[in-house]
Amino acid sequence: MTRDEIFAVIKANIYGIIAGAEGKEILETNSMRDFAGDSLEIVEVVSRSMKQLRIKVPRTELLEVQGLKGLLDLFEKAVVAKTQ
Amino acid sequence: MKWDLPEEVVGILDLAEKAPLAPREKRGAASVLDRKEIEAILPHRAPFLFVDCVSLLDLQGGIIATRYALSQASAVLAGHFPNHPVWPGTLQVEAIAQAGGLLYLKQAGPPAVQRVTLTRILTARFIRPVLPGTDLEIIARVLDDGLFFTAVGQCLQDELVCSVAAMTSLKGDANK
Repeated sequence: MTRDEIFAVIKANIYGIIAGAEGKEILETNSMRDFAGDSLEIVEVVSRSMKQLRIKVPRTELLEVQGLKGLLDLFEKAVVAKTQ
Repeated sequence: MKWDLPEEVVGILDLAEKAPLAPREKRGAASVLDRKEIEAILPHRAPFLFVDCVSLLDLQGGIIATRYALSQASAVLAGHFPNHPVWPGTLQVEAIAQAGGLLYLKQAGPPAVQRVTLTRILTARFIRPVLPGTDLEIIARVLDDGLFFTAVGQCLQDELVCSVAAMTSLKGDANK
């Protein structure tokens, strides 16, 4: 699975969960807060994306993530680790 | 009833509407956990703790059965409603949430998760009124959902289903 495919999963969940993202372009440089996502919506996006990607990332690592780029880096690492 | 919910949740709700989720013979008379053990896991306290005892606790199978004596609810029943006491549906949902939370926390075990935070009530249906006179039984199942878990359960009186509900909770404290 490529980085773009992982990002597509995250973006689909942002569009599905965070109302403020509707009609807006989502970039790696964004944060979910840019679309007025509340903390619970952000956790839902992360949880649903991990489920769909079939990865598990420890909560402690998730807490340190900054922005979508950080989340994508973490998920990409977990996807690569899973396939090895 | 048609439910617009995940298939696994619907499967349990469909069963829960019709009959107890665990047969009577599996729900023993003795409590699997005593009050001290229950209070060590759940932060709720009387008069808002709706788990007096646990008659079934199957961590592998993901199912719990609890009991609550409605004799403790006289103040609530006096006002809901005068001359027509009915234990509130909102409290039935809470009782199912407490049973599901207890099961989940017991499954997770300390120090993995010590708190859960109710985040969403997916559905609830009130089929029969819960009336004073007979203790309430709550049976709940728990489904893992990533950073969340879903509890699906029922309230019973005299083996009859009074209500069913499903809710999602965050594993851990929402503020951390």
